[in-house]
Amino acid sequence: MSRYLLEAKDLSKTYGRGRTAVHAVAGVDLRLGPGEIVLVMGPSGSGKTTLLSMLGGLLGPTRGSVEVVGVDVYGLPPRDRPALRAHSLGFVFQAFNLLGALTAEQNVLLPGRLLGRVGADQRARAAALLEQVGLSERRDFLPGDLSGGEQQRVAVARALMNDPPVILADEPTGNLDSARGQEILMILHDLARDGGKGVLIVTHDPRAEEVADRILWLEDGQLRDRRADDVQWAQDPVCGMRVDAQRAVAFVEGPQGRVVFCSHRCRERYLEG
Amino acid sequence: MLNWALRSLFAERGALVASSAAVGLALLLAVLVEGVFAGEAEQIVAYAEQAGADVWVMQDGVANMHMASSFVHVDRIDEVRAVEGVSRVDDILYVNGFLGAGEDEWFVYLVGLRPDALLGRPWAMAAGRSTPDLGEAVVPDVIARKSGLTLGSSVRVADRTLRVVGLSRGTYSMANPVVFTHRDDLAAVLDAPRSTSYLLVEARPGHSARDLAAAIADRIEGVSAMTRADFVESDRAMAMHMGADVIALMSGVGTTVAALLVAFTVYVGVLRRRRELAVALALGAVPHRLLAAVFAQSLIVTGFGWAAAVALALLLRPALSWALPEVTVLFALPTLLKLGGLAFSVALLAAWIPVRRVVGIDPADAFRA
Ligand SMILES: Nc1ncnc2c1ncn2[C@@H]1O[C@H](COP(=O)(O)OP(=O)(O)O)[C@@H](O)[C@H]1O
Ligand SMILES: [Mg+2]
Repeated sequence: MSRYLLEAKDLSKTYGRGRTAVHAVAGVDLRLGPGEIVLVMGPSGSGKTTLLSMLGGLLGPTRGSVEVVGVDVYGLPPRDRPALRAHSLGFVFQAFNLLGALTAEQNVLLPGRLLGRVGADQRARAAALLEQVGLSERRDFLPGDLSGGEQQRVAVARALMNDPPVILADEPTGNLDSARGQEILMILHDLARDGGKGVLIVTHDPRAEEVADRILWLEDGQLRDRRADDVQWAQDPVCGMRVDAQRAVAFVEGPQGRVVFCSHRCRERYLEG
Repeated sequence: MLNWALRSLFAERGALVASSAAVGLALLLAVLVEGVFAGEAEQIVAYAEQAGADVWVMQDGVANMHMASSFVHVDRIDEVRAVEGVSRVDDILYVNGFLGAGEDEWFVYLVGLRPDALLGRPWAMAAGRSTPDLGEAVVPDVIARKSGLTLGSSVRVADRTLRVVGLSRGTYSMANPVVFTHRDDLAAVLDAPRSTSYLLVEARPGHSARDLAAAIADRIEGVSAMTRADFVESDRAMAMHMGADVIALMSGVGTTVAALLVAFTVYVGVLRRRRELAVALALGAVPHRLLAAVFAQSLIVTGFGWAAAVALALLLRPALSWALPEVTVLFALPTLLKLGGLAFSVALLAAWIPVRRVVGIDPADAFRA
């Protein structure tokens, strides 16, 4: 079995055919291990959503394969894929995508229900997850009565309901202001660091770079090395992450010079202890 | 997903009420049409049903009043009286004709009664006497109301003028209101003094109508005899034959409109929630669960619509019989249940279109902003 939670080999997607064919994703190799946060960045139209859809078992590739915890997703018969998604993948979307008629708690419970899991322990887990994202008091709110940041936190709790090893997030901060976006990134960060999950984030939010272990640059459907010239790596003393010292938004000016952090969260922790 | 389907539906209360009401109105059309049809079907045979005869005797080969005429020689009356098991015979003269009431001309069944008749008379009176004398007429209360007749008013039958002495109840139907005259007035009009039309026979206790009818038909030349039940059914079948197609068409239109409305409502709901459906699929919902949810929505909208239709119909009935006294509306339980069953098939049918839409939903759409 693979050491990776998520592994894509030669993944390609071509929309249409002949002259009008669009090679949205072309020969992408990608691996995601436990506790790792990988960012996929790139200009719009570069194939990020297409890539994520294929990784999430939602879009059959033209070529190549995807393995989720060692299972060849597209080798499975299509009717077995929903269960694989529900078990092994947590999704976070740019548009939050909560079901509008269900309360926060019912939204969190939904992935469990989809696997036929109902009962007191499920409700306890949903309550714990809402607590984890700081929304215990809003469990009975409908999404329409929650702010964008709160909705996205509910969405993250929902993604965690079945305790999947892999979280896939598409522009999770795209519809949030900077402070709310930061909160979401911190939660995703903690999921990898403390929860051992593999987190893959598609984004073009530069703030996300602070929390990433690796940044993959997608352009014209292919992964490219990002220009490394303007990056100056430093280490976050709290979580040990590599941080671009020039772009870090969280830092303290200490006696030995500037100490940079992956996030305000780590900075707070540093100052606390 | 069922939970979601219900909550989604009830979350949009305005839309749910509006579409249930629309479906209700369409079903109401069907309910009303069916109700009017059922009411008319009862009224059209009311006379044959209520005249009090166990056995109807008529000219050989005739089996109806509707669209029919019957001539039997008056000598047959005593012959029938002599048949074993007969307790009473009254004869009526009968012809389709027109009743003139002021400006109005009504197409009616004219029934000529003997003054001492017990069978064949009006069975319920709104006012006046039930048995007309020479120069007199008893007309349905509905005609009186529509044409402004009261006791003492004059009406015209052929070249005669008759005075209204009674207003009968339950004798009106759109196809054949029944007007009663003295048999001799009608005989003069028909110029058939030795003829009568139908013999109304009452059986002695212990004698079955069926056996009596068979005995009369067997014993007496040139007549047929039918039990009341057979006669009523034969007349109803004849009278409803033409109307039935029209009614079936209208009620079909109502049902089809209802089906389209349900389909439209659920379809719009599916379109509006397409993204949520895609999200549910992405999260690992099995497609057939979503389909079940759509069916459930369709059933609920239809169920509400049906309930609204029934409630409205029951509320409307008194208003209707006040505003349109000539229309008898009958809401029999079987009719309502039949429409309920129809509505149910409507719901299943209506769900079909949105379901096909759901099947086409791409879970990857969850990612598309
Ligand atoms: N369903 C589709 N059919 C045809 N072309 C598509 C479809 N989805 C995306 N594309 C094309 O594929 C390319 C990559 O799109 P996408 O994956 O959405 O990029 P990104 O998420 O990076 O903006 C674009 O050129 C886009 O127009
Ligand atoms: Mg995109």
